[in-house]
Amino acid sequence: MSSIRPGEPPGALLSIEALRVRFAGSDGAAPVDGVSLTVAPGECLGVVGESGAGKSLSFLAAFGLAPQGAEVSGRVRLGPLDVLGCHERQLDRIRGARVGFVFQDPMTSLTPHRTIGAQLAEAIARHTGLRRRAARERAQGLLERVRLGDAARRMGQYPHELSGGMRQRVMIAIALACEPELLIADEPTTALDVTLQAQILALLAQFKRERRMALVLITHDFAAVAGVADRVAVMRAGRLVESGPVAAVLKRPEDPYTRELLRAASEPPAPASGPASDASPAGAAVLAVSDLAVRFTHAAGLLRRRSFAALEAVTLTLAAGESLGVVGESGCGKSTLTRAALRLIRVHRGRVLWLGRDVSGLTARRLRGMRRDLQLVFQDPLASLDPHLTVERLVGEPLEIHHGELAPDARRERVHAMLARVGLEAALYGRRAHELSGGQCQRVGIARAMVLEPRVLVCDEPLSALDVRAQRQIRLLLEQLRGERGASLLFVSHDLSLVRHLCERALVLYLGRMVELGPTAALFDRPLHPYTRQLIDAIAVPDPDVQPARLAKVSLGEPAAPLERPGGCAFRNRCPHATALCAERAPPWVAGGAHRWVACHHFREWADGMLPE
Amino acid sequence: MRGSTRAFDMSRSEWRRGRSLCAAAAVIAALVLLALLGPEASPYSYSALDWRHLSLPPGLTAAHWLGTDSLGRDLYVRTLYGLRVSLTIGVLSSAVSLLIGIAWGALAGWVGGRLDAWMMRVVDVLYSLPYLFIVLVLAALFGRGNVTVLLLAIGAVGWLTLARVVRAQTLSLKRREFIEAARATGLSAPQVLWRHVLPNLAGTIAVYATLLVPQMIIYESFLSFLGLGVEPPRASLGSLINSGARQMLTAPWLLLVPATVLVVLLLSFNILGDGLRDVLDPTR
Repeated sequence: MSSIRPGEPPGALLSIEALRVRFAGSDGAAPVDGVSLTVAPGECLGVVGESGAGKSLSFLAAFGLAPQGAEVSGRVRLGPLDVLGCHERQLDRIRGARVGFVFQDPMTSLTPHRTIGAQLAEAIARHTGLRRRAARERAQGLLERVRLGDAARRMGQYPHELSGGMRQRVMIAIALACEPELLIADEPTTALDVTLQAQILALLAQFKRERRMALVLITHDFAAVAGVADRVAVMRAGRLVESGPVAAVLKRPEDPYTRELLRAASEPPAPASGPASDASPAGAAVLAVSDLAVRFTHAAGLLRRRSFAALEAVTLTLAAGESLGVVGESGCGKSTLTRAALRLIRVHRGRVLWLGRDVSGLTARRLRGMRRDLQLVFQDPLASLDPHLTVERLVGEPLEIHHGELAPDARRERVHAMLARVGLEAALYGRRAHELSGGQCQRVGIARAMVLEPRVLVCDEPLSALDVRAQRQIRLLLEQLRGERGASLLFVSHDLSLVRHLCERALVLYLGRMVELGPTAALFDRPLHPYTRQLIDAIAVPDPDVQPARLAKVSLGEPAAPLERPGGCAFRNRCPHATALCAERAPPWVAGGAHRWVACHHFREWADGMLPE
Repeated sequence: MRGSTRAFDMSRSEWRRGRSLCAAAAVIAALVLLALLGPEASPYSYSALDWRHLSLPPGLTAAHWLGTDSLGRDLYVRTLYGLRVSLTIGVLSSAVSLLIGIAWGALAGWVGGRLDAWMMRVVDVLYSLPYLFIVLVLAALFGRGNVTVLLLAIGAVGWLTLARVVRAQTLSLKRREFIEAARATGLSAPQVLWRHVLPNLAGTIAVYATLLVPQMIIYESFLSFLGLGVEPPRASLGSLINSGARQMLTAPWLLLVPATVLVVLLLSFNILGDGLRDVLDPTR
């Protein structure tokens, strides 16, 4: 049913006019309510908004992918073609061939029981009619182009054998298989860590540049938009609130909502203020681990099992009232460290001290009573809350367990006080986790941990599953709670700017080993380890003047995987300053200044700029 | 936003399922009431012989409105009496199966390792024994027509599948983050099992239980049909169908009446199980 209409705006590849999506029988507002957008060939449009703003739905609906029961109206044209008037068969030819899609969760977008190579070759064969052999060759070429290391071997692997970053590369390869004119990337980096986010965005920017491919980047992250987009559209509750060139919108936002989002994204990282500003662990140690090692075994074939060191020789001390950040990429052992320090997983070697007491040999029974003082906040707030319990019961449970002497009334009072403290309205107390937003779930998680008034709060990436505004709110809440209750904080994150904001000291982990430890401010001003430097460089800023240049410098190759740790210094294959010595011997853990420690053979030379960059 | 649309889709089909769920529950309730009160409300007893009306066909004006069998026993009373026996055996043996199955499966799944392997091998061995063989042995030991033996025989097989289902569910629940969260809070293993594992299994178990009851009734009917179950003059739906089948050509009502009741009963339980699964899943 394609038709060429006269009076087309020349140059628009995709034009959406007054797009509306409604669900039959629902009385609520339309989730997409009159959105009009255009995308020119070779242009990148960033679409920004919070979850639920209708960003993804607009583009899904535009290409016939809206969920069942949706009524789509408006006009969508791809070049001269009227997309909304197309048959399902025509749409099938458009999707994949002319328009590629990349979704947030690469695991659910790949079929688990087929190899990467087979899935990729299928996509190619389907749209180009190539024979199997030729399609497979092309598939391997594509995997190399998206910089998936060891592409030939990866072709024969299944999705679950790849890391999140690798899977996202595969998804991009599939989307690019038929050289689409338009790529729609829906939150492509949200599930990834800083380094990978920068790499995937740099990769997308490169394809857009080299092949004049138009790109729609749907995201809640202004920094991603600043790095890649030419124009930006801000959406809220199904409507467009502001759109324009990226520089104009990000620097001089006109709409108050855009301003609010930008403020949440780019708050100046004030140095963390705390009792131990000189970063020496002044108070008594509330949590300490020494020479901690954790090994995991995994199947390496039908019968063989191999073990690898997830954590090796980690020693750290968390002082009373202190907040210590643990940073590193995914797979560096951050989460393993929190679980081992809380004795939730088996420790291979090393000692763990809680409140000055060695708990290494204690039985599970003795540990349980002590857990009251050390509580954990999880990364995924929804998964960490029992789906069948109400908010009130979730927060009341720790009290039932540890303060059985409390009368039900007194307990309810404490629960309500805690819930009010974390900013949850009384109307929500009877709800279950899946009826809450991500931010509300995380508030429940924090309330559950804080209701026992623990001495130590361990946070495992508590913000990375949330969108910008919720992130900011939860961060402020954590800061306030820490100020009020004086709990020590062990804060695990891949987001360095967050750690800089919240923590007095920071520990950097790389593939399960400590590479640098020191006061956050000093660590940022003058990192002693080249890896710390790279992490700092990968921090994205929502500034269109700076971010594209930073992205252009990102190295596109994959980070090392924990299973393939090289001998000597584990970081040497990514280190610009590596020498023969680094391949030969693992660097020792040495003092690098006041309260600073580092594991690098050459930190003195390179950190002072002696070695060429 | 995709989530909200899914929730919306669900509510519509939920409403449709809700109706059939209520209908099925109503039919079951009605049958249970009939089984309890029906025989008492009738002037006839299940074993009384009426020599004046042998093999009477059903008819609204007749003395026995659903007819009689070749010995002149009232089919209406006998069917409801059989329903009562079948339901009792079905519910009791299901309850026994549930208790054993849940405890066995949850323990194996939670503890894991060697204990799990041993417990599951026991299940495998019991599975591989022919069910009829167990029944024949028990019948030879304790005599035919013993209801306790019948319960034992049926219960011995009923819990096996449930134990496997519960074990698999426990295994996957065990890896969920909220279980780790509970351990981090300081709950002991029994507390975690009781507060977080079992409640989240409730949906699966309820569904399985509603499917188990009809299965048990089928087992019982099958055994009675073979003559290994309830002995005359007492009756169960299975034994009634058995004797009805023998006179299928001369007195078809003797087969059709109890068979219809059995089919309606089984169908209602199956619909109820399907509906319950949706209602009890907290994320829907």
